[in-house]
Formats: sequence, C-alpha cells, structure tokens
Amino acid sequence: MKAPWKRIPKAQDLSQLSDSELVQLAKDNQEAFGILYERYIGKIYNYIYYRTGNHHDAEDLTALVFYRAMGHIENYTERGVPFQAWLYRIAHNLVANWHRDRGRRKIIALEEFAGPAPTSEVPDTQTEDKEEREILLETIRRLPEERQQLLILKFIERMSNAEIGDIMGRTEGAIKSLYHRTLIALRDELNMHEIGHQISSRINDTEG
Amino acid sequence: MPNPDLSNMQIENLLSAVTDALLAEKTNIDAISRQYQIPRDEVDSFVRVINRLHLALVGVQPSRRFVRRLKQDLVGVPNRNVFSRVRHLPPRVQIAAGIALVAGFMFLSRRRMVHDIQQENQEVISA
Repeated sequence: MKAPWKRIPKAQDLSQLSDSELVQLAKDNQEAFGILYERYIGKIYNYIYYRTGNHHDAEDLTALVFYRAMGHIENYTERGVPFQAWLYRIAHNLVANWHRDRGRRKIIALEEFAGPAPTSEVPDTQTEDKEEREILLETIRRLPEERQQLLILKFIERMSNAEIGDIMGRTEGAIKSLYHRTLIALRDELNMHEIGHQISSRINDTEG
Repeated sequence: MPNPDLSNMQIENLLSAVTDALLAEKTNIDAISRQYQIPRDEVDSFVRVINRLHLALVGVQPSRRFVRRLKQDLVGVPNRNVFSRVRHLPPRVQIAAGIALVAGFMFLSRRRMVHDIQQENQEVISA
C-alpha cells in the first residue's frame, strides 16, 4: 500500500535513482547529495589530479568543487547540461583559476605526475617504457588546456565524444576534429623529440 | 581530386573508432582501418600515439580517508532519528502525530491518577 505521505528514501533506494532525480532531491536532502558525491568523487579527483599533477592540490580542489556544487545545487537546472558535465565545468574553472593564480604552469615531478607505471618483465625495457612515458606526459603538459582536458576525459574517464562535447560545450564533430588535431600535434612533437634524440646519439658516438 | 574536408572527416571518424577499440581492449584495428580510405602509413602513425596514450594515462584513486572526511564535512553523519523523520512529514500528519502523542500522554496520566485514587481508597478502607 502506498504511504499517504512522501517518505524519505533510504540511502539504498537513493543509489538506484538517476542523476536528475538525485539532483532534485539533493536541493533539500543531504543524503541525496551524498550519493551524487560518491558517484563522482573518483572521476573529479582523477581529472583534477592530471590537471594539477599532485595529490595535495587535487584534494584541495576536489573539495572545493563539491563545496561549490553543494552551495549552488539549488540554482542548478538541467538545461542541456547534465549534472556530470556541470561538475566537470566547475572543476575546469577551478583548475584554470589555480593555474592563473600560480602565474605559470606548475613544474611537476614526473614520478608524481605519472602515477603507477605499466609493468614490464625486463628491467631495461621497464626503464625505456618509463622514459617514453615521461616524454609523452611532458609533451601533453605543453599542449593547450583544452587539448589536455580532452585527453584526460577520453583516456582516463573513458568518455564518448558526445559526453566530452557536453562538458566542453562543443559538438561531437568539433570534439572529433579537436582530437585529430591533438594527435597530429603529439605525433609531430614526439617525432621531433625522436629525431633530436637520434642526432644527439650520433654526435655522442662520433665524439666517443 | 579528393575533397580535403571529406578526407579529414574520414580520418577523424577513423581515429575515434580506433581509440574506442583500443580503450575497450579490442584488437581489430586492421578491420576498422579497412573501412576507411586512409593510407596505411598514416593510420599506423596515429595508432602508435594512441597506444602510447592508452598506456601512459592511467587512472588514480583518492585516498579513502580523504573521501570519507570530505563526505562527513559536506553532508555530515546521516540523521535518522524520529524527530528528523517527523520534520519531513506534511503538516497535517505532524498535527495528527502531535494530537496522538498528547492524547496518549493524557490517557496514561489519567490511568495512573485513577490507580492512585483507588489505592488511597483501599488504604483508607483497610485502615
């Protein structure tokens, strides 16, 4: 029998709800916000970690994102921007301000930025892999902000072009095009790096 | 002469399809490439970069302590006592609950009072 009053959903029931339903409830139910928090904390943290390059700032900025989201959730209306995209936009703005406040791109220790390295059986290969990875990450950090954002959303968050488009406020076609240009830039940079490396090796061999 | 816009669109679609396949750990890159009229060399140069990105960009997790503490700061400890539940009920239900509570209290007090009077009377009779 249906209860004559609107009951408070239990946390277990809440976790079954969609983002839109939770957002409506979260306007006056903190537990609903708690479910949204659990759903997105990992993703937002990952995104910020790769944009800032260290756990300490990633934690501070992640906390700010959720405080801001909670503070503004009453005014949030889903007009073409899903809740997830709204959170990422808050995160993006905070990271942009963080970079601006520092006045420069932070120079990050590569080990710290890189996270867990892929494993390899042979130590030499492992060193080589690590070196290659460091070069790639360094190259990524030199890309314009929007290209970095695209790569993080695609490779870390495993989002579709449409979802990335929602977050970045672009069409799916525009995201495909941006991805193509990003890959060209990366490929050319990496080729240049390889050529430079070969030339310096030859010089060293000749001198040796 | 090939249309450069069309060719660009083809390669953009191919790159998206190849990336999705690699991220899903699928290895049918050749089959995907054959669906597009893009020179094999060009495809391979991109596949190398995509592969490197796939291996280098791995997910990280926030510490459990941080996640738990932030949640506590944001939403606090869940409050599930009777008063918090009643507070969320509609006004007419709150009024009904209030009346039932007062009536119950009055009934118990009256019963106790009657019991006390009966006991006093019995004591007087026995004395």
